[in-house]
Amino acid sequence: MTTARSSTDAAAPAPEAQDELLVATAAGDKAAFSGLFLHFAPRVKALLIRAGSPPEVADEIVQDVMLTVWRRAAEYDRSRASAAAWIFTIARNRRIDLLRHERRPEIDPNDPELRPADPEDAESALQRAEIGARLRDAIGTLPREQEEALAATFFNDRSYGDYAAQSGLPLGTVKSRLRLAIERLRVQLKEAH
Amino acid sequence: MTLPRHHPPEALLLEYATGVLREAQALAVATHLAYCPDCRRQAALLDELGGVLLDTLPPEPLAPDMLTAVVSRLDEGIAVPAPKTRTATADVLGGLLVPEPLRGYLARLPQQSSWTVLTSGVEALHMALGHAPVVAEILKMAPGSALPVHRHTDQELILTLQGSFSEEAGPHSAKGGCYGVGDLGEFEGGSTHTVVAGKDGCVCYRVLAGPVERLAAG
Repeated sequence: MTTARSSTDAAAPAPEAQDELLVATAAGDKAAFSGLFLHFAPRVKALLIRAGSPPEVADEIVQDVMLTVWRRAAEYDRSRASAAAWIFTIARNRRIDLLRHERRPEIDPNDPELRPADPEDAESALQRAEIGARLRDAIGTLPREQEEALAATFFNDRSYGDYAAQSGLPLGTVKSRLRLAIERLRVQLKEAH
Repeated sequence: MTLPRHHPPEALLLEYATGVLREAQALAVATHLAYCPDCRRQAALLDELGGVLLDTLPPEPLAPDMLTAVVSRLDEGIAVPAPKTRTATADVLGGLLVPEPLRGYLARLPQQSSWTVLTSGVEALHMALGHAPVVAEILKMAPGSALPVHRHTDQELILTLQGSFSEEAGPHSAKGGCYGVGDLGEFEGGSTHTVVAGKDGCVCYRVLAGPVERLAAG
């Protein structure tokens, strides 16, 4: 796993640079889009394959996801999400649409009926970036089995039950590992504040 | 405006973030998010977690020339989606203010959708979301009306849109609570309970993941 990553990761843009590429993409910058593509398209494909999609189908969906990124880039709000999180949500939603033929219900951030957050709780882009960095550190400190349960949950379009069956673990164990992982991440984020 | 007091459990938010949750249940969670800034922050955090995990995945080689193929399509004209209406009310619910995404689902209900009487004082509007045995519906309950005591084999989600209801536990389960606007109740499979509308009645979105067994005449 480590050898396969080294060549591409040398040029991998840092999270803040990814956010800037997406903002530039929104302004119609094709070179910025290409930069995002080179980094994220192969990872979106990896996500789709882990979610159970055959490689040829994954290639089709990757194209769809990246075109959606281009077309919807203007909706990206840097103070609300990192580029990686935003692209993750696009990939997740396109997967639900194309593979499961379902809509993905989501809030409309401009809905007048959206109950507003306390302005004091609003996070700045800077704080948001810091949360991302803390999250990265925190994931790195998770025990291996918790990290695996987390990754399997995010990238399998199946229930926990199927993951439990696949890994040979009782469902209760999978659920408790996940809960522990999330709790631990939360504690570490709180400590960081 | 008071904020919701009953929230989706962590596991449900996680299933929503990962996309495992099916559409009918995801609609209940997403609409709760519109009422609840706190859960929105939790959901945004889980999306960030998805982003970090995506970013650290070992890349998978793409089909050759995919970047060129995609870049050549960037200037393609795309159908511009019709501008969203800014009306915040759901006609089918008599002009009740309902946030997205549920409002859009209500607006898309077929014209011939009609209310059916479930029991005295309780009407249901079927939403045709998901496949049997999943049932997604709007419940309209008159003040003080009650659903018959029932046991569900699987999870039940209820999101209050107007008024309030209280969950009255059945003889074999603990006492429930009061659910006002924006509150999401998750009742696990196997639980026995009933739901009683408050003094102003209530309107809710309810999803049953499995069949319901009536235990006594309503």
